[in-house]
Amino acid sequence: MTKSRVFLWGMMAFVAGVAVRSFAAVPYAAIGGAAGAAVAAAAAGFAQREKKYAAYGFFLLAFIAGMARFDLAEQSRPDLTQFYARPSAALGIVAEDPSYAEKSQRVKLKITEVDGRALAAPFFVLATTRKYPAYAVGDELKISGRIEQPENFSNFDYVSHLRRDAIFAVMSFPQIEKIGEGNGNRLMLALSRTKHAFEENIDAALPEPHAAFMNGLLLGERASIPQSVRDDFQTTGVSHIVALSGYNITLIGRNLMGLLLWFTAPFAASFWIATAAIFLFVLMTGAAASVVRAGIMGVFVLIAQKEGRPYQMTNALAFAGAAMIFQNPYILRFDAGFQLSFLATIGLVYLSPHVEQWFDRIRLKLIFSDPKLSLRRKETTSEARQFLGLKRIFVETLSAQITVLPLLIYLFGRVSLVSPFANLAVLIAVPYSMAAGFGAGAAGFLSRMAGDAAGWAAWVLLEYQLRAVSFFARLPAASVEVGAWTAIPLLIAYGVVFLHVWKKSNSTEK
Amino acid sequence: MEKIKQYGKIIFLASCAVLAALVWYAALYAEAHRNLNVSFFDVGQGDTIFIESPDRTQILIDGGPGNAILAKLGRAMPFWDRSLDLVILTHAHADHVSGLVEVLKRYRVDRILESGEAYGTPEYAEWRRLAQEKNIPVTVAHAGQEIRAGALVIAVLSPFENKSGVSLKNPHDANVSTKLIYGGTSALLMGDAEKMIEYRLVYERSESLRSDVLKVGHHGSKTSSSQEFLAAVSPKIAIIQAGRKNRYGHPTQEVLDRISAAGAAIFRTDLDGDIALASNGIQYWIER
Repeated sequence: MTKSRVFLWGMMAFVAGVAVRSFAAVPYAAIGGAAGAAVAAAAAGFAQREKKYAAYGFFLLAFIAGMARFDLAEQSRPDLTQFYARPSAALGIVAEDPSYAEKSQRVKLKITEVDGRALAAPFFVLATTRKYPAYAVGDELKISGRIEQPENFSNFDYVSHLRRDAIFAVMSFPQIEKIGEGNGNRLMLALSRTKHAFEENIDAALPEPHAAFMNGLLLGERASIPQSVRDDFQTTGVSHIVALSGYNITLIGRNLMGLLLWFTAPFAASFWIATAAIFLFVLMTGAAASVVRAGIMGVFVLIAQKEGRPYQMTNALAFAGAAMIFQNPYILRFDAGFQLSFLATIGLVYLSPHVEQWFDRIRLKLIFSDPKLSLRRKETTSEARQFLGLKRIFVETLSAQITVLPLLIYLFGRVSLVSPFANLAVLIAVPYSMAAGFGAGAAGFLSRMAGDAAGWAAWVLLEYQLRAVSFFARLPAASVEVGAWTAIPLLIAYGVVFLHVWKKSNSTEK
Repeated sequence: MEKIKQYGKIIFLASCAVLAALVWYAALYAEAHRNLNVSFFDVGQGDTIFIESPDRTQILIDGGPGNAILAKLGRAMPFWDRSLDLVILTHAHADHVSGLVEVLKRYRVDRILESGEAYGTPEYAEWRRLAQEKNIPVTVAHAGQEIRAGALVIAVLSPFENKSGVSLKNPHDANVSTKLIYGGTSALLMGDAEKMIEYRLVYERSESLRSDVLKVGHHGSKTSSSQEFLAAVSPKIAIIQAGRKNRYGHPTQEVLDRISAAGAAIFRTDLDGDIALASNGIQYWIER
């Protein structure tokens, strides 16, 4: 076993440890015993130069480290029992920009003082309050009401969902008085203000629902998209374009790269500029943990495409995944966004070369079946086709969809049958509309007119996408209820195909 | 340069297509705006009415409960148009004012008409703050005022006196009720006006109540639409703005029965979605 293989499996063992512990508490005695055995195996392996044992010992240790990491996160929760379920007056600072619903906003507050006593260990509270006045990150609020322990509702594990973001207390419609603003990290505040100004420029340049759609595309702010449009997005399986997923960020980076290349910039320079742009972009959207993760995955896909040899980056990808899970072990089980994003990245990196091969094979067959007609067509349209990147979009969508499908079924119990076609129709326009929208947001800082002009171009593209989505959503059987259980046979089928492909690729390599 | 040559034809064709599309858009837009259009949007449990006259005067009455109004306005107005000539707030309840807060943020509003009744909610405070910040002139509404925009006349029927700064137990008592008059056709827009306002209108101005169309007061609640009032208005079309499965049970069967008995055809946003009323000054109709 090579060193790099040991590293890879070590990472996976760590993740497996986190996974096991996140489903069930493991008695410390068992963990201790296993740790002892692991150390013994590793030591014995090293002493006798029996690499295999050393490796197994290392894997077991990594697995235990995973369990321990999750356990530590569980243990480190603050004890808030003294605050729960009684009226209190607290001081807090808004930690993130609030998220909005139709009639309310949810504000994450870092509580620093309760009933006049400063806290040695500040804690987070998620307060649901009226929509107006709007609060912003860095605002200092005096907030009085009942601090409650979060509770699960119907079949949603709300407690774990909140715990992922280190929230162990909620408040419902408390009395709020704003007493200050501009607290916290200067850079983050400045970035947040830039983001708000950018959003306002977009809102000024585009009508609704186009402006909300654009803010979703560029900033992942999808709360203000009308429910009917969001439903259509869900039905057609294109919701991912208005969430800041790894794929979305890849698109930003790659289109910038494509643009630079088009202006004949050197390849390496284009790549680094695109990566830097992604970094700035992540910062600008507030650098929420989920967006940072998406940014990292987006860069990975860029690298994979730059290198053209995806299998060499397996270790780096495994390390990134493990590092993210180490940083916040709850995302592995309780963050659907992370799961979907990571799976889509895997699809883009590993599956898309295969899908591209299949695609080419099918196309060749079509060409040979009618040589006269198809060959001529190929000659004349290949330029335009490359320009629009139709094939690339189709291949990538299909690859990402294949890897996220079981999870989507498990989460929503539905399959969108029109998804590949809807994605194809929409994604052709996404890069251009993102560019136009970015232009509108940026030009808005210079002049209202310039912003409007870019906005009109964006409007045409967005209108096309909205109509396409609405068309596909209205097709009969656009989305079919299949039941979450179907994810299991599907996974088994995936396993069989995976083994088959793996075997084949191993045998061809030798 | 090479690339420009390469894509020159495509770019030329695309520009032609865009130009043609714009001409068509303008032509179709003009065709659709030969009449007075009054849209009663379905924005859930709340009111919002958009009026557009053939001379392009655009008036918005109330904004509904959330930001749903924005997408409706975005669809109803040309995509480059971000200004409204007049915004009327009937009263300060959240299901009428919340959406207008969003409208003030996005649109250039030339004038506001409202009762000015002091009402202590965060939504209304935000509305006042924005109006002040944006220097929008506010006209205090009271009965007897008339707003003219070309052939369109908007007559204010209530509140009966200046309620600016007055704090009422029930904000509905200062409701801004208006009558749209366009040629020989008319529509009475009652906001959330209750029986108290209705009775007074019947006794004091019964001659000017008669209207072709009635926007039923208070979402069809039993607090409004008294038999006497309906008789005085005698509408042919009654429009109710209410949310699907709203928790107040609006509109009540009692009111629906009374309206039917008065001889009006009922249209409801909770069942029919957006309702588009049109008038050419002689005839009026609901567009399908």
